[in-house]
Amino acid sequence: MSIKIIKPGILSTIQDRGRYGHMHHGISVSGALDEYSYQLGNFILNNPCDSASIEVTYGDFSFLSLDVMHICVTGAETEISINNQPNHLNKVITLNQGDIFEIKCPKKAIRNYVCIKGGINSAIFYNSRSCNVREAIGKKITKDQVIKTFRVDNDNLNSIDPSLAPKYENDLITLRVLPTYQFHEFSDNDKALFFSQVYSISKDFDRTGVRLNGGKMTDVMKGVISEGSAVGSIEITPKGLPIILMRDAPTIGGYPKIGTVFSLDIPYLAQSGYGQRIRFELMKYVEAESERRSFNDLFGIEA
Amino acid sequence: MLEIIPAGENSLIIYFDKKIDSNLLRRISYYSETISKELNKYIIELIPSYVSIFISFNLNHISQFELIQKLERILTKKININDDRDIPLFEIPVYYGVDVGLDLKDVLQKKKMELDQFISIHSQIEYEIFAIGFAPNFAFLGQISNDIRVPRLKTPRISVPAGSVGIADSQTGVYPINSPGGWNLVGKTPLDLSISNNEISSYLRVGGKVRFKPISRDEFISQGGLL
Repeated sequence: MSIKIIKPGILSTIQDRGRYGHMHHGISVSGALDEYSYQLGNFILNNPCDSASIEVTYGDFSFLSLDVMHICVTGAETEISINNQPNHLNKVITLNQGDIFEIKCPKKAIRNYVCIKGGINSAIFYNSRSCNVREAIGKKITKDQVIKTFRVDNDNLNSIDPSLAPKYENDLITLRVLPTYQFHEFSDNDKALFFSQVYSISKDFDRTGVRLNGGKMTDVMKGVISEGSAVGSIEITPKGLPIILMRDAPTIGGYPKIGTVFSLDIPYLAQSGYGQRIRFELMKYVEAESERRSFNDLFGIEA
Repeated sequence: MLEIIPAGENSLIIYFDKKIDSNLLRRISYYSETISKELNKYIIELIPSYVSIFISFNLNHISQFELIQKLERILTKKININDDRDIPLFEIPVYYGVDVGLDLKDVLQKKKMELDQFISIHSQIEYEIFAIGFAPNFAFLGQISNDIRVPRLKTPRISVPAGSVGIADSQTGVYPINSPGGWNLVGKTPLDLSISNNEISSYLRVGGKVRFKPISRDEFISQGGLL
């Protein structure tokens, strides 16, 4: 079964849950940035939790369905249509051969996940189908590209209460932060500034990292000996401003880090674009652990 | 000094020291192997780097607290790192020439040095891999001789061709894929050091050893090198 891309949009890539266990080779984890929407789409289609889907950034994406198939679109609030007939996010849509499916530019949030029943059948590299342009692993999706999907015999599908779907329309988002790495080495003034001010996303944000604008910290240490970086870790540059590392970020880095954004708050950051206002709030490890475990349980994630 | 500090809800980092050196590197490499082996069922990622080991773990099976206890048990055990474990030496052929080493001329000028002298100094040392990162299979090799040390470029290049050999301060390394980069380029290898080359990943590990073998321009081309 397959689809043929008509409009690829600015940046559409194949992403699954990520490429785990190879960071010691310098290979980033990659994978769907908005883990919540990605899992939700696969859950609705009753796909395994690591099925490959298409991550569409800023919409303007369409394809021709070459077979009968079930799909589900999640993520940013936007208009989607089948042969110009409006349809809905977060539910199963059945496409017939010859149908044209389209996603318009989203209004506020920025990423959509096009999940397909059975998952995408593309090349596996180091246990994952995720594309990482920076690492030259895979390429972004182009016009006329044919994408194959797995044929599945079961028609088991799920539906969810639409209110369960995450909402990304907030003017101000709060990201919960764990006190990690060099947290205790930052001055009280800098920490107070970090947790009290409202930052905004600068023009530099992508799958690698998100740079923030705001008031500058003043006593930032010069640098640390390069060390392994967790996804979500918050580096403070010598200029005193934060960069939050995303899934395509290099595996090691030498800027001091004031903390790490809780993994389940990353989806909200991943859905944010230029100018989004952000504030930070300290979180306790026990809460993070238990919330993460519940999420893993809900979607059947092994790790 | 030994500190275990959280890095996220399912990750932590072990700091062994605040200074980089070879003996520490051997300890880190030893502990990386031991931890990977003994705690295999809990560990997802393990990144050794200079003075630390980053670990991410499976929260479904173990809590941060429990893992730290297990790590402390391993880390406080007396170890003998003088064992002459066979560390394989990985030889990387390099053509040192101004046509591929775009900064070679500048470096020689700064150091008031002939090319032959530079080549013999850069290629005689058995380098150790202190870290891997920046790009897949990019190995940070140390330490280069004081006689050829130069700072990194003031303005990094937007694209450095794959295979380029660079130097910056006390370190040297090879760019495995085309990528931006701020190191001074002094040569190029015909070898494919990208992760698509499955034969080399066992050599490119923290604690591993690397030596550069000078080759001529003709050898470089005949081994598939691109000018």
